[in-house]
Amino acid sequence: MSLAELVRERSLLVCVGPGGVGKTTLGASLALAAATQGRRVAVITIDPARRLADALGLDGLDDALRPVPGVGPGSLDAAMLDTKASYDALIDRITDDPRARRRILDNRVYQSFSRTLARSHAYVAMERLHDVLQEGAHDLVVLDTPPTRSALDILDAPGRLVRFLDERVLAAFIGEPAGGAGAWIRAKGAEVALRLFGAMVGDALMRELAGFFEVFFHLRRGFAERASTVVAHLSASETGFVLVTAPQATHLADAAYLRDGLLARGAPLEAVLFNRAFHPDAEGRPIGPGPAWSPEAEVDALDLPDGERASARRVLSAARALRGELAVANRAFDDAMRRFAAAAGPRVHARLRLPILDEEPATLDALTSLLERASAL
Amino acid sequence: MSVPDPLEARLSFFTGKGGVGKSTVVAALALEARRRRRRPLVVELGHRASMQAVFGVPDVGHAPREVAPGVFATNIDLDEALRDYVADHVPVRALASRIAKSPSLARFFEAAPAVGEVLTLQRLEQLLAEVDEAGRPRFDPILVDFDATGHALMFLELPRVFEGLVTSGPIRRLLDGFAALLSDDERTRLHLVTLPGRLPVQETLELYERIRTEHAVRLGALFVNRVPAPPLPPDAADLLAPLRARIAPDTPAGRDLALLALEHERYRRLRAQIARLEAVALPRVELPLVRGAVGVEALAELGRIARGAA
Repeated sequence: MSLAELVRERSLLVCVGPGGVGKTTLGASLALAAATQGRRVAVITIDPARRLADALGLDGLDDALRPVPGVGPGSLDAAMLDTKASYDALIDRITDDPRARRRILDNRVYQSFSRTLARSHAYVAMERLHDVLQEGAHDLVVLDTPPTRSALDILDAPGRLVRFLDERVLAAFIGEPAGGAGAWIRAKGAEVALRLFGAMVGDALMRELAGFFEVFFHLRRGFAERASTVVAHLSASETGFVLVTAPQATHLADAAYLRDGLLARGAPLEAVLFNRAFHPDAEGRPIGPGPAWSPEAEVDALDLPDGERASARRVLSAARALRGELAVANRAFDDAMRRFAAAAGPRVHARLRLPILDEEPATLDALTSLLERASAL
Repeated sequence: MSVPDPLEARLSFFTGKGGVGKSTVVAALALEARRRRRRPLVVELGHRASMQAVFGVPDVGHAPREVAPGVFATNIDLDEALRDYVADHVPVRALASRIAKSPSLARFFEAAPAVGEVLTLQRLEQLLAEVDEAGRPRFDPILVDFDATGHALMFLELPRVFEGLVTSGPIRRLLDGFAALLSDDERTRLHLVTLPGRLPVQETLELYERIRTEHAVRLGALFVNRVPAPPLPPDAADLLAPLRARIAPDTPAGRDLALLALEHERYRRLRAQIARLEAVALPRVELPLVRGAVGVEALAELGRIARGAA
């Protein structure tokens, strides 16, 4: 399927890729393209650069979906996935007792978990995605993922989620029986291990940890159910994965890990977008070697005064050398991208490269024209 | 400002926005350290594979591995770090092995907040303490490549996150040791890496302000990566416009001159961005742009420049 078809037909597009390659920006462009075709679209971004956030009308104060003004004929809602805000909203939703809520929100371990850990991102992304999908108010959801290898966490759920919420560990921690004699014996094993852990970290942390796990003990069933729903969506035929990378060796190495991880998990990887993948000429086309010409002959033809000939030759030589350098760089990028794309699996029909731009696109118009400048690899 | 040696400290952390080329800078400095007969080790966190890609070696795992003659790299693996940690802290071997094998505890460690970070700290301490047969530090300098700004800040904040929570025991000692190491002027530096673009420069200005005001760590150098050479010699720039006026734009020479004009304009904008970095009161090192693949030779050259020895 071409990228245009993916944008028109899929109901969930998940963008994955290494950090610093413009994944969030491209995700927003895809969402905008779908909205421009008349679809009702939601884009859930992570940590967009400030100017992009401004373009999408995100103020960063919470993580609610808000309509992006000036989009049509379809619609575009955007949210920034702030891990802490999402967790707090989740806790709000599931705890009725204000005192219990306060206790959780004040828990130091909860605070550090919800605020700082990349790992906790998969959980909250899962919750957020679940909500948006359940609402059913959108034809397409575009999901951005964290710029690390933990992006694959989202596919390893619910396995990892459920393991994290393992009853025996939690029960041992908070001193509740987990049910059943076998479970009790296993819990004893965990208890011994935890006592040792307690000796290492001290009582204060153990108390906070117990409080933290108490929260999750009560959340675990809902978590697991919601995670299963989301995972069913992720592997459904209306879902596509879009891998975004840049052609430098270090980016390609990280992207290869994601590519292979997606393929190994049977995820529908359907498009690879190479961002900042060629030096464009003034018309936006990749710079190629161009025909040969002689600076010397040009200088002769211009009939310059003797005093200017040497400088003119230097300028013209610099121009010719620059084209050569950029053409060589473009070819090297192409070679690296072709090698990468060859291993991208049978479903990837969309292999596109986008130009190196002077400015990151940060207006709706710039986001729209970004995809128009893509060319097939 | 004169550039002090970015390799003088025993332990150097590198941070900056994703995609600015931290790994390239770190690898280049490691090669330069080796050229100076030191014993550099590059530490990567978060399961990245940058050093594999940069040096073209198959696999960099938990055990330090030689990625270029005399240059070592390691990718901290949390499972192995956990086994080390338990073995170090639980005196009874049978118990240690039981804990390390306990699936419940493994799950707990996999999920529990900040455990990964504490284990990483522990591993860093271990690498700092290793000595060779002659009793010298086995690795010097140690260069830590944080995979993103957020990751670096989280590390700097670790002692604070645990403030009042862990009051005694081995983790307390570890955190105290780390806090002391962070604020040790002699041993530790945090270097910033950026690119000459509007966004990376803006983020660097903000990051600098935040670290300077909130953290005790001593900042080292500011590396500006991928700075292109001026496309035109300054004295010839004035000729560009008159030449374009006289050479037809649809000839090969005319088209190449148009490219040159674009590049010249781009270069001017990029210098304007670099000028904004004046607000960062750190020695600034500009590293030249290498187009296409960066081979080990090019890295070594970058390393000489990075150290201010070019």
